[in-house]
Amino acid sequence: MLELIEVSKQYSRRNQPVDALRSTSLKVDTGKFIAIVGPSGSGKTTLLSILGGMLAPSSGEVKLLGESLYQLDSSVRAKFRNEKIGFVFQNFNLVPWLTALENVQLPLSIFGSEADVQQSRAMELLERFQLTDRADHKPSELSAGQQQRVALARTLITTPKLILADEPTGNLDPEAKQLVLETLVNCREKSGQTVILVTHDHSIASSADRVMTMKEGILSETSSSILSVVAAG
Amino acid sequence: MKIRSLVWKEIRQRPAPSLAALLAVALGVSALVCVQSIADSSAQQVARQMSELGANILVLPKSANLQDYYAADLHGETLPEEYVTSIILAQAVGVEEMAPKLCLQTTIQETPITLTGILPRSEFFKKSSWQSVDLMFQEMEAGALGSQHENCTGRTCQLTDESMKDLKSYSKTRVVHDLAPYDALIGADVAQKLQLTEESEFQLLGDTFRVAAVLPASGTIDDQRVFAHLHTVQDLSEQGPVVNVIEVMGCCEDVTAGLVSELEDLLPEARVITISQLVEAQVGMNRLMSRLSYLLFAILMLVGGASIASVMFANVSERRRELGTLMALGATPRYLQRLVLMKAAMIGIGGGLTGMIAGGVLAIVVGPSIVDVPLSISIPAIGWGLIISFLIAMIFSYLPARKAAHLDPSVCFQDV
Ligand SMILES: Nc1ncnc2c1ncn2[C@@H]1O[C@H](COP(=O)(O)OP(=O)(O)OP(=O)(O)O)[C@@H](O)[C@H]1O
Ligand SMILES: [Mg+2]
Repeated sequence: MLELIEVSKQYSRRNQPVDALRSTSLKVDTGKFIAIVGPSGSGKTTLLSILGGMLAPSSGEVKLLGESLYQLDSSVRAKFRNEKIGFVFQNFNLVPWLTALENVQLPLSIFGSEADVQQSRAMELLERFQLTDRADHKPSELSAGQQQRVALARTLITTPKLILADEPTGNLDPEAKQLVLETLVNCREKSGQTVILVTHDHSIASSADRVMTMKEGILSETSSSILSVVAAG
Repeated sequence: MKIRSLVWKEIRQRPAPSLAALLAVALGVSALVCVQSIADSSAQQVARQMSELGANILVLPKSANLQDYYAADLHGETLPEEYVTSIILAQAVGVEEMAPKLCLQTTIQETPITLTGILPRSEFFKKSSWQSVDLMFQEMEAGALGSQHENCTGRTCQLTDESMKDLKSYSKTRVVHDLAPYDALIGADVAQKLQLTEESEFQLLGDTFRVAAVLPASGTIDDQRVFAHLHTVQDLSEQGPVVNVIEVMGCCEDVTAGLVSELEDLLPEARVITISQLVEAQVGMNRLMSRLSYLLFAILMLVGGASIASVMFANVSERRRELGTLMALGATPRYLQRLVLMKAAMIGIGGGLTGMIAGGVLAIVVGPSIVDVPLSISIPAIGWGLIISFLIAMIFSYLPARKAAHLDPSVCFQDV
């Protein structure tokens, strides 16, 4: 379903090259839940951006659902992202001047599907996340947990094949954290969606099928036994 | 949700910067609409005056300083009344009629009015002290005042004794045949304010006058005038046998040039000008006003454009993460570009419409004190104002829109 072939990314900062990702190869099957852990600045977000079709790699190839992502025209890639990929952010990234309902509708609005279809789909999802009574609230009027639920509803409205989450529980209390994790696990189990999640939280990583570690731009497999020990400790 | 409502919601969230840019555009358009409307209306007024008074010539004191025809007698300087006789005696070609006037600013029951002395046609021939001249006058009494103009294309003999006797038509003919010493013709505004009708009487400077006729409204300062016999006004003003202006009506345009030089030679102490010279100043003024309004419009539109550009640049920078998120959700670069252009268009069109309304209202409020005619709003100015404010908004938001389209979508992961 997803394949990275020799992908590397070099940023230049004040003419100094920064190797954020070094020749990384990766294969992910449909319906898997992958967790990526690693220290700050190791290149996790860079990797997710590249996987999501938002950041062209310096070299290498990214294949998603049979398409070579960066050989697509940018508008075709945007449409592809709209239909096939969903993002979950640490800071939720809700549009501050739209209501919860409008935020959830947004991915459908961008490609102009019918208004009543958008609205009924969005309401269904808000109901699923127990936010029906918050539909008309702006993000600033919602708690962090509620905001992340709105963001999850927005991600799921297009039923993406691939969900990319960058520290989705970083700003949440344990209860809200649990709900986000359950939702993502559910996506994999009930709908067969592929989830790639970046986290600092090893207890979350332990729910994954596969845990990988990022260090100085190099991605490597972590054995789940080590992880369970870490999580227990 | 349509892109339009997305933009509208964003503007409503934080309207101040958009309003500031909108205001700059509105200022430009309102200046254009207001000044053009006034200049247009003034030009129409000038055209009307030209067609009504084309062949008329004003004989004024040298030092008189005047702005428009209807106020030609309000400068306070005087000429001897004898000039009327001199002009008749000269028998200039094409002189049809003459209207000497003397003004006195006064009040009736605290209402300010302009008391204007006019000399009835029948009096022109009584004033002479020379017997020989009297004989000549008797012959002329019926027809024109000057000698006949050959091949005249004008209004020769249009002014019959009949039309001169109808006092109500004075505002058109500007000549009356007879007027008793204490009879008055009163302007429409005066009649309305003082509730005067024909035959009613009123007190003026200690004398009792009778309303001989109420003149129809003309939309000029004549509506605030009370016309009475010249000699009565001369007595009341204690200035002796003088006038402020002598209007000489020529028979047609062809005689004006000749008449002016003839009158200049005859009356070296006076200033002789034609109506067209008088309105020329007005035409020049209109042209200048109109050009200045284009200049002002151009400057203000550039300011408006620059302010749209700066508001949109700031907006795109501030919303980097939000725009990146929209890209993560599938928005194409074109979509973001449209988002920015749509917002600029709303500011531009909003500014254009606001300016159109403000300019129109301003013209209607301020206009009448600049030109005394019913004011009509300039439609071409509105059209151009709207089109150009839209175009300016598009041109000046091109770069910010491009910036939005080239935004790195991965900014959505950053804490900005
Ligand atoms: N736009 C950029 N320009 C230059 N350097 C960048 C840019 N984005 C990231 N980097 C650098 O690339 C490296 C990897 O950054 P990245 O954001 O991928 O790390 P991360 O693993 O997500 O860190 P964190 O856990 O703190 O989010 C870092 O050294 C960072 O400073
Ligand atoms: Mg990161």
